[in-house]
Amino acid sequence: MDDGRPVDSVFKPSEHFTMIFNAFVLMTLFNEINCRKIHGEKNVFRGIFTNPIFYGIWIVTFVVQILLVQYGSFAFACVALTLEQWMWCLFFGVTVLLWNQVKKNYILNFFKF
Amino acid sequence: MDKVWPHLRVLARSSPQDKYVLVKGIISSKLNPTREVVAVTGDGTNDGPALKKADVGFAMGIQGTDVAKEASDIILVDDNFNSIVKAVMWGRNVYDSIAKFLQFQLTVNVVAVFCAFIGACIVKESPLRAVQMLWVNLIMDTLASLALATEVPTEDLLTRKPYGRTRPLISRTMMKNIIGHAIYQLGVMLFILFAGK
Repeated sequence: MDDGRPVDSVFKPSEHFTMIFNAFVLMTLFNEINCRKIHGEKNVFRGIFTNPIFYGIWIVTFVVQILLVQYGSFAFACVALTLEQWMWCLFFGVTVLLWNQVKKNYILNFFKF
Repeated sequence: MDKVWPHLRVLARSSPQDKYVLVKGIISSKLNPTREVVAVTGDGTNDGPALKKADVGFAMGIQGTDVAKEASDIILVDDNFNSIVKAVMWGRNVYDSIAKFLQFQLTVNVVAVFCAFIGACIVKESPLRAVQMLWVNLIMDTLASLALATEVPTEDLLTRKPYGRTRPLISRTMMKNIIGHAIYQLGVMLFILFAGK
């Protein structure tokens, strides 16, 4: 009887899906910095070093994420990524900070929200 | 009552009964469309009713009687009126911390849910595995809640206006942030999903 699962072992981790996961986590991480301000302030970094717990946790999460992707293998359905792929994921992550500014200053003004 | 209290600054030689009448009058006042928020400080047993009636009752920790402490919401252990300002600062900080975490958590979850849904509909499987979701939702978000909730209060908190009593926890700005970032992150993930083959 067919169990409904795709036959050619789709659950095998692939670079493609690892990159999606990695980009998602990095975007979330950078969004964590955005979320420090809730009243639409321009500078989301203001006072970031007054709270060691915040940047401590941020760095720890980042390091664990690197370890997960590089050495998580089957348990986390990840394969090790090359430096170039990492840079792309990091690029997508950092653009969240840029997007925050663009969204605030241009897009919302443009649509008069 | 409504004619008197907006101009009232000091009420001298008042009895605890006057205090209670004043608090009751301000709370039931219809002068503003939104109800006033009233805080009361007191130490004596006879301040009890006013402390209880007010939205926030501050009792004195050293001078105050047990009845006053029992009726109050917050006890000033150092008997210092300046501590009220500190209490306001911390209160606003807690509120903002919760809002920050909500903004973060909702963005993550909206993206994750829509990504799993769209992935399941189009490529017949979720791009994010269960274990990966657990890492994001259990570990990362717990740590993030700690990170965002431990921000220390600053003087800036005192310069902004107070929130109304009925103001929604998720403000318009937060809603815009959540939706804006969710759309962007979803866009990036779908781009990798479909263009990255």
